[in-house]
Amino acid sequence: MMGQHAKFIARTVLVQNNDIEQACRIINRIMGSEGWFDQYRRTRRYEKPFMARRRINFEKCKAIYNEDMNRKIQFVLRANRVDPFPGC
Amino acid sequence: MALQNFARRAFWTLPSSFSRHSSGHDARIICNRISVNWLSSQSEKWSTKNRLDLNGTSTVDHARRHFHTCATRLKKDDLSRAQMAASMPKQDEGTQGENMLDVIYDQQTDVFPDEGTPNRLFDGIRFADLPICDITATPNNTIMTLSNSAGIVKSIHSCGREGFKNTREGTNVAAQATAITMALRGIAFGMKNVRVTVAGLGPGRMAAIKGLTMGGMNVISITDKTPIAWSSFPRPKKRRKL
Repeated sequence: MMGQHAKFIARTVLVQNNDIEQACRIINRIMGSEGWFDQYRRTRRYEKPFMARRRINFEKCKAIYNEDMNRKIQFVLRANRVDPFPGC
Repeated sequence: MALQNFARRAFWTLPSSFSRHSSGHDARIICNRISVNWLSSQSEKWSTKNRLDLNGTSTVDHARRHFHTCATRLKKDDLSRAQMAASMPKQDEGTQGENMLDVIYDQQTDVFPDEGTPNRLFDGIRFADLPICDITATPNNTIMTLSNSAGIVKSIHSCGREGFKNTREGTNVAAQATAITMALRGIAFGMKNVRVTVAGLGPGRMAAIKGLTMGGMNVISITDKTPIAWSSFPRPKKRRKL
């Protein structure tokens, strides 16, 4: 994977003011939020097809739920309403 | 009398502690008496405690295992086990900040390298010409390699070589100590500023980088080069049983 990208350009963070903790946190955060660590942990052991199916179905359901929930939250928190409390 | 006959038959199935130590007729008689008492007490218990309903589940006696369960399921349902597992500290993988929510890095423009970075000077040396310190952090050990920009290895060090043995190799303390030694060696080679690459998740992941700075090295950049497979071939080992 790494061979296809420029070394020390991809997945690299420059340390600012010798603050390595912050630099580590940045790179860990990006790798974690984009699912690279999850993928790494998942491929340490063989994931049987039934487990992969279950996981993907669960992820699908979660994504649908999150999408609807976000829409709902945005609806409740929407600004510039003509009638701020409809139905009251 | 029927009960006694049953007890005589049950003689050979009784625990050996009170049946096999003596021999012959006397032993049989003693055992009969014991087993009759034992059986009557057991039958009383069975009649009151272990009544089976139509679903085949025991109504009262929870200590006795259900016939339709197994050790793995029992482990899974064991609340005390789950509580203990929840109370254990999370294993250190060197990925602090993985689930952090902040936007500090968005405001810093200099954090990520760009096309000009290889030619940027650090203490008069081009970024691309800086020596490299490779860290391989596994759950059981941390291995560090120091090489120049061309990839010629100058020094290799690991927690095992540092003097930590067996499970102690896989700790952040060991990784930090190893990194301090490595930094001192590197400075002796004239490698003060280094680029660091880390591979793998293990307790030594962050601790080793911290150790390098504690030993006096100046870490210019941190690169993650964990080998992440999206289609894993060869097929990995099977999962460990619970």
